[in-house]
Amino acid sequence: MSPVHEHGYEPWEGERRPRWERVMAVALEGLSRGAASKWVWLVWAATAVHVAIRGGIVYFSGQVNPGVVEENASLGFTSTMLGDVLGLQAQWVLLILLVVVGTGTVARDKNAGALTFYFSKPISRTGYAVGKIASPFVFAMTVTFVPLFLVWVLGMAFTPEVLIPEGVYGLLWRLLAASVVVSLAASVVAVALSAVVRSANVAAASWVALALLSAAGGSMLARVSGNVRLEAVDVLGSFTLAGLDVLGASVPGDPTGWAWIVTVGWCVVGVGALAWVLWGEEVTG
Amino acid sequence: MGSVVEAEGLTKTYGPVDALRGVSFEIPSGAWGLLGPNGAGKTTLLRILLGLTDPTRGSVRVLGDDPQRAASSIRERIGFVPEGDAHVPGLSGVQFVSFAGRLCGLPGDDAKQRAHTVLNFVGLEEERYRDVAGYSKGMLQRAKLAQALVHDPGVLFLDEPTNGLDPEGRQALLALIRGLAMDHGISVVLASHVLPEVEAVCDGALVLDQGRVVANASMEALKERQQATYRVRVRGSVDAFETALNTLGGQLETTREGSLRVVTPGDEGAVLVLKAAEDAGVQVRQVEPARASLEDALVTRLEEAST
Repeated sequence: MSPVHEHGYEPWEGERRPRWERVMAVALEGLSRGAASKWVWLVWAATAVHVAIRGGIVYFSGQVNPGVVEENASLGFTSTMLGDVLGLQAQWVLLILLVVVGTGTVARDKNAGALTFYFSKPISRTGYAVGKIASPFVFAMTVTFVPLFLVWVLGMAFTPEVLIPEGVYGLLWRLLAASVVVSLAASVVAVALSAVVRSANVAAASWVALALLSAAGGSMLARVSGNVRLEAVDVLGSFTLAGLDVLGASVPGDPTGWAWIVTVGWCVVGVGALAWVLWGEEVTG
Repeated sequence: MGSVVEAEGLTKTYGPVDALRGVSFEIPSGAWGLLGPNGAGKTTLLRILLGLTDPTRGSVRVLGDDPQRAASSIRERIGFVPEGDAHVPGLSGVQFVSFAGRLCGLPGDDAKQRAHTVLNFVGLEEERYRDVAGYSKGMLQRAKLAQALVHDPGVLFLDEPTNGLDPEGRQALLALIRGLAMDHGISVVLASHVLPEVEAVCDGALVLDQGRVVANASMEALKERQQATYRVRVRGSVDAFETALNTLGGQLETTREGSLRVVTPGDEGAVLVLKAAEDAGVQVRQVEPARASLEDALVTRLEEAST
């Protein structure tokens, strides 16, 4: 470390950027941190493989044996097939991705005293929370909307024109909306968990435990009681079911209403927990 | 000299605890200290000034604005160096300071350029690409100063900025802080338990105790009461000198390295010292006004406040 010199302090004269750009700066900090993680690239690679396999299925089903497409809608270019893609991505890939980019966000800041740093700057606590949720949300969209969109594009490219279903362009908007529902709900819960504990590792373990145990619990309760609605206990499963509802994909039984209640409920609890931590935190060092 | 902070009847209570009890004061521009024992209300006051918490009663203005209503606007014009750790993990020095600039509204390119400038200014130019988490305590303190300066604030609030620094690093950092106030027009409010630091850097100090203002004055005014204190060297019986001194109403306070510290009543000053020496039959080798320390002044003020 060099000694302190008087290198000359220079005043700054310039125009300040609008407030929303400061929120974006928080989000971009999270995005650059995530993009530097090899785990994120591995998750993206797994997503690419998934898209390639789905593209292959569409290609072979549509080009080699178009009759199969007509007879078996699940292999065809439909919302149900895209729903399968979303379900797999949300319940496995998103689960892992948010361990890397979501559950450490606020916990790391609390550990390093960074909340003091943030809140002594001209950014509101709401702005901080939005910025912190925005970066895992964007990453989440890369494993929900992006693969859905790519499969949609491949479907358009590989499916013979006569077999392309009606309203296929409207489907694109529903893909976006479904991805937003799943990604936003999961990101809010992951960041909220990150806020209520002090260690990023504990937050990650809590996130995985919540997803896996609720999935196992929901499945078991539904099987024992014979009531398919109890599957809504599954947190990520409920987020996915809400997304499938937006997508218009058919779901066996009728757990959708409960899935929406669980999704909205977790979002409200997540935002409440985040607010409780951020507004209650002592931040003057 | 304009005011940086103006407070009127400022009260803050946490349940049954009164952290601030209707304090009124002004902090002028320049370098001003914020002094007081633990629990005096310094941290609460800083939190209110930064707009992080609202006062229960009373009003406060920082650079003319109310922190309750214009916290963001105020934070654009102030820099804060907190006492504890306050860095964003995983960022290098230049990324950290540049990020601070972005949060203060600087355009991206300006934030990067300013980050390099202020890191040079605080002496971290060679360490700027290292992860802040790996910085030594001294480097962290400098990085915290850099992030507080990146947006060119009008006022700098520093909470125990020299904590954990070695004496050399401490002096260097204090010189830098003093220079900001003296040469660059940035007002400094320095909260510190290390009184000689405040004395070395600040033009005056606000002294708090148990949520009340004990004193708020320039250094000269704070030390005024200590002027009747003399450092004396005598040859002969110290006991006899002390007896004679006591008879005349003076007091021998401390003895250190052969020097005596004599407090004289009223305006009699050195005359009384010489008379006591004559009465005691000792030879006076040296009489000079003792250089009053801020610590002496603060102790006196706190004692007066508690009685």
